[in-house]
Amino acid sequence: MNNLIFGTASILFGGIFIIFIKEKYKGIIQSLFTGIGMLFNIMIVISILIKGGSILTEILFPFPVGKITIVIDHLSSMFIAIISIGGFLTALYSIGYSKQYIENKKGTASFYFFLSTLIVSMILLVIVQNALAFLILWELMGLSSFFLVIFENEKKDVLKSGLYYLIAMHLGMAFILTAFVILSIKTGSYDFKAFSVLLKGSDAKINTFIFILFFIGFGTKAGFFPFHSWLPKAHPAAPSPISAIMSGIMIKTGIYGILRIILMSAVPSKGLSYFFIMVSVITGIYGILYAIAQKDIKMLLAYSSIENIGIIGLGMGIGMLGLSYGNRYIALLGFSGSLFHLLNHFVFKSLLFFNAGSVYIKTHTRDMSNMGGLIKKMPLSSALFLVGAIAIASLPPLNGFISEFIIYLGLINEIITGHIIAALVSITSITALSIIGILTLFCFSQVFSIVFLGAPRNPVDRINEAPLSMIIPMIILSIMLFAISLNSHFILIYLGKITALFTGEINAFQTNRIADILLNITIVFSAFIGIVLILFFIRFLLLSKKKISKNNTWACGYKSYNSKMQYTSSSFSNSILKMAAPFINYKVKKESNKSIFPKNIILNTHTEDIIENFIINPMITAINKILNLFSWIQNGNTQQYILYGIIFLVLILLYVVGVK
Amino acid sequence: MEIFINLIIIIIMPFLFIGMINRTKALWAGKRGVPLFQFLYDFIKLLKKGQVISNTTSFVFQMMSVIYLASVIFACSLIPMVNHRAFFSFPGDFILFAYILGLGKFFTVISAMDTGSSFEGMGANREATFSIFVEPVFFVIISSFALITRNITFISIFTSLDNHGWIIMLIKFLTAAAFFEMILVEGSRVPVDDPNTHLELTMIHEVMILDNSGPDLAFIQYGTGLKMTAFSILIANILIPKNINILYSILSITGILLVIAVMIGLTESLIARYKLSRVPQFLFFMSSLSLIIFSLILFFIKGISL
Repeated sequence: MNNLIFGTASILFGGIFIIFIKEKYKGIIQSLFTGIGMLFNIMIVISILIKGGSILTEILFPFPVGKITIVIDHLSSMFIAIISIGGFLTALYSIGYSKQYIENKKGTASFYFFLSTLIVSMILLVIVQNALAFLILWELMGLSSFFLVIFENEKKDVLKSGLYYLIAMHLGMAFILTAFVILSIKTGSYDFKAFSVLLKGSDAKINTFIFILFFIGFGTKAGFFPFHSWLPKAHPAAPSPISAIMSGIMIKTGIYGILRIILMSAVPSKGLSYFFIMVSVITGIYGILYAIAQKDIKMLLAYSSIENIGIIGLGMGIGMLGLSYGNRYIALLGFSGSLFHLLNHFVFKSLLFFNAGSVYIKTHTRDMSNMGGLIKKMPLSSALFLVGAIAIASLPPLNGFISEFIIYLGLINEIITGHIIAALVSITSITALSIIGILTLFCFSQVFSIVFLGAPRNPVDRINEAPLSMIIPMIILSIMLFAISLNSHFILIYLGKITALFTGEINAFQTNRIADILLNITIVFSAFIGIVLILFFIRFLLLSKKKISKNNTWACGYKSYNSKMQYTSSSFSNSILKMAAPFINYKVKKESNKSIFPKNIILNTHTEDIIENFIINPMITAINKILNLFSWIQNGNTQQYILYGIIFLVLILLYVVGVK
Repeated sequence: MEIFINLIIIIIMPFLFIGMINRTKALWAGKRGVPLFQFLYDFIKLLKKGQVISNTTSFVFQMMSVIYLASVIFACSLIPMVNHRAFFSFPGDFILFAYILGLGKFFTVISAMDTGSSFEGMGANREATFSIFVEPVFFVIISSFALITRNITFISIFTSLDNHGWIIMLIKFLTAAAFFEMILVEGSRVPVDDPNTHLELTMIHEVMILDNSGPDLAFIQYGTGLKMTAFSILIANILIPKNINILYSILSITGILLVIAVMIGLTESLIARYKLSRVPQFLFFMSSLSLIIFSLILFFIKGISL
C-alpha cells in the first residue's frame, strides 16, 4: 500500500514541481517522476502477483466523504500496471512532442500538470470501493482529460470538440450518478460491498435496470455504440500523446467500471448477456466501417478504438454468457480474452497514436491524402507503424491475434454446447468477428500504404526522422507487442487469476488448458518466424552475385506517370464504402463539365456518422428550439431583470403571508 | 515420419496441380499444350534470375514475397492429411489457418501499394475487397462443422465427420462446392480473375505483382499454387473416408487434387471471366452456400437442444 502512496505522490509531485522550472526541462523532469512512480506502482502489482489475494485498507476522510475502502485485487492491479506504464511512456513521448509548443512560446506547464492528475486520478479510480470517492475521481479524470484535449485552445475547432467531449462526459456521468444514488439510497451507504449485497439479493429486473444505467454511463466513456460520438471528435483535437493515453487507457476505465459492476451484481441473465454481445458486435462493425471512411489519420484511429472496444465487449459478453449458463470454461475464455484484448489494445493503439503524432509533427497535416512516401524519410517510424498495423489487424505472429483467438475459442466452445440460441448468436458473432478482422486488415493496409508508401503526394524534402525521445517509447511498445505474443501463456495464467474473481474459484486445470493452447501457438509462431528467416536466407543466397537494377515503376507503358495518379485513401476505401453506403451515409459528389476541352474535375467523398446526424443533432436542435421559446426572458434589459426580482419578492411575500 | 511424407507431398504438389490445369485447358482448346511440369521449369528459371526493383519501393516490397510464401507454407502445416494429424494441431487451429493467410494477403496489398502504381493500387484494392467475402464463409462452415462434431480442431472435425447419413453427404458436397469456389477466388482463377492476361484493368492478383521479378516472382507464383493445393486438400479431407491406410490416403489425395485441377481447367475453358461488378454476386453465392450448410445442420442434425 505504501508503495502506491509513494508512486502516486511522486507522479503528482512531478506535476506540481514542473510548474516552477524552465520550459526546456519540464518534460524530462516529469518523465523522471512518472518513471519513479511507475516503478513503485509496479512493485505493488508484483507483490500482489506473488502473494495472491488482495490488499484491503480503509482510510477515514473528513465529513462529506467519510470512510473509504480501498481494495487492490488482481483486476485493479492489472489496471494499475497498464496506467503506470502508459503514463510513463506518454510523459516520455511528450518530451519530443512538446518541442513544437516551446518553439511557439506556448507554456507546457498546464499540459504536464493535467497529465499527472489524469494518471493519478485513473490509478486511484481503480482501487477505491466507495461511490462518492469513485465519482469525485471520475470527475477529476474527466476534467483533467478535458483540459488536455483543449490544450491547443487557440484553435477554434479544438475548443468546440473539447466542449462536445465535456458535455458527453457529463451526460454519461449523469447515468452513473443516478445508478449510484439509487443504490446508496437503498443501502444507506456508499460502500461497494453494501451495493454488492443489495444487488446479489435483489431480483433480475432491478439488476438489469441498474446494469443498463451503468452500461450507458460507462459505455459513454468506453465508446460503445451508440454513445461513441465524442471519440472521433476529442481524439483528433487532443495533442497526440493525449490521444494515445485517452484511447489506450482512459476509455478502458469505462470497461473497468462495467467489469466492477458485473463483479458486484448477481449472475447476469442470459438475455442481458445476449444483448451485450449484440451491442458489442454492432460497435465493432460500426467502428471499423467508419474508420475505413476517414481521411484524417487520428479520426481513423479513434474509430478503430471504437471497433476494439467492440471486441473487448464481445469477450465480456461471452464471459457473462458463460456465467449465466454456469459454464466456467466459457466464462474464463470470454473474460480473459476480453482483458487480453484490453491489454493488447493499450499497447498497439498507443504505438499507432504516437506514430501519428510524429507524422503530424513532421508533415503538419493529419489529412492522409496529403501524405505518401514517408517511408523513405522516416524509415524507423514507418517500420514501427507497420508492426503496430500488423498487431491491430490481429494478424499472427503478433499479440493482436492471440486475444482475438481466445475470443474465437470462447465463441466456438459456446457453439459446441449445442444450445440453439447460443449457437445462432455465436455463429453470428464469429461471422462478425471475422468480418471485423478482415475489415481491419483492409483499413490498416490502407492507412499504412497511403501514409508511408508509394510516391509522395506533397514535397517531402524537409521531412526527417522523428526525434529519439519520440522513437524510444514506440520501440518499447513494439518490443512489448512481441513479448506479449511470445509469452502469452504466462499472461493468460495471470488473467486467469483475474477471471477467478468473476467465476469464483477456477480450477487450475481449466486455465492450464487454455495456457497449453497458447503455448502451442507460441511454438507455432516461433516456427513461423523460423520459416520466414530461412526463406529470407534462401532469397539472400539466390540474389547474391545477381544483377539487381533499379528502375521506375512500370506504368504499363504509360510514359508521363506522376504521383497524383496513385490510389488515394478515398479511392482505396471506395469499394467497401459503396457496398456499405446505406449504413454509413456515404456520398460521392462529382463535378465535371462535359465540354470539348475538359477542365478540372472535382470529386468529393463524404461520410457522416449516422448516430450523430440522425439522432444527436436533431435532438440538440429540438432542445434548442424548446429553449428558444423562453429566450424573451433573457433580453439584456436591466430594468426588466429588476422587475423579475420585484415580482419574485412579491410572490414570496404573498406566499409567506398566505401561509401564516 | 508420415507427417514428413505428407509435408513433402504438399510441397511438390503445386507444380503438378498447375500443370494439370494448363494441360486441361490446352486439351479442351484442341492444343497439345506446354509440358506438364512447365511451371516447375519456369520456377527454376525465375530463381536463377536477377531483379529489377522500382525506385519508389521500400523494404516492404522486398519482404513481401518471403512473408507471403512463408504464410502459405505455414498454413499448409496446419492442414491434416486425411487420417494423419497435421504438423501442428491444437484446438482452434483453423482460426490460425485463416489468419495466417490474412498476413500474406496484408503483405501483398501493401507491397502493391508500395510501388505507387495506380494499376497495382487497383489490384490491391480489389484483392482486399473480395477477401471480405471469403473469410466469413470459411468461419461459418468450420463453425457449423464444430457444431455437428462437437470438436474444435481440424483433424478431429474431419475425422468425426465420417458418417454416412444423407444430410452429412449433402453437407459435404455443398462444402466441397464452397471450398472449390474459394480456390477460384484465392488462387485468382477464372471467373473471378485471370492468371494469364496481364495488363488488363480487370485484373486482380496478377496486376498486384507487375513489378516483382526474379526469385520474388517465383516465390509468389509458387505461393499461389500452394494456396490452391492447400484448399484442395481441405476438400479431400472432407470427401475421403478416414479408415484407410497411408498408401491409399496418399493416392486418394493425389486423385482428388488432380480431379480438382481438371475441374478448374474446365471452368476456365467453359466460363468467361465475369465483369467486375458481377464478381461480388458470384461471391455472395459462396456466402449463401455457407448459410445453407449452417441451416441444414441446425434443422436436421439430431442432438441440438433448444
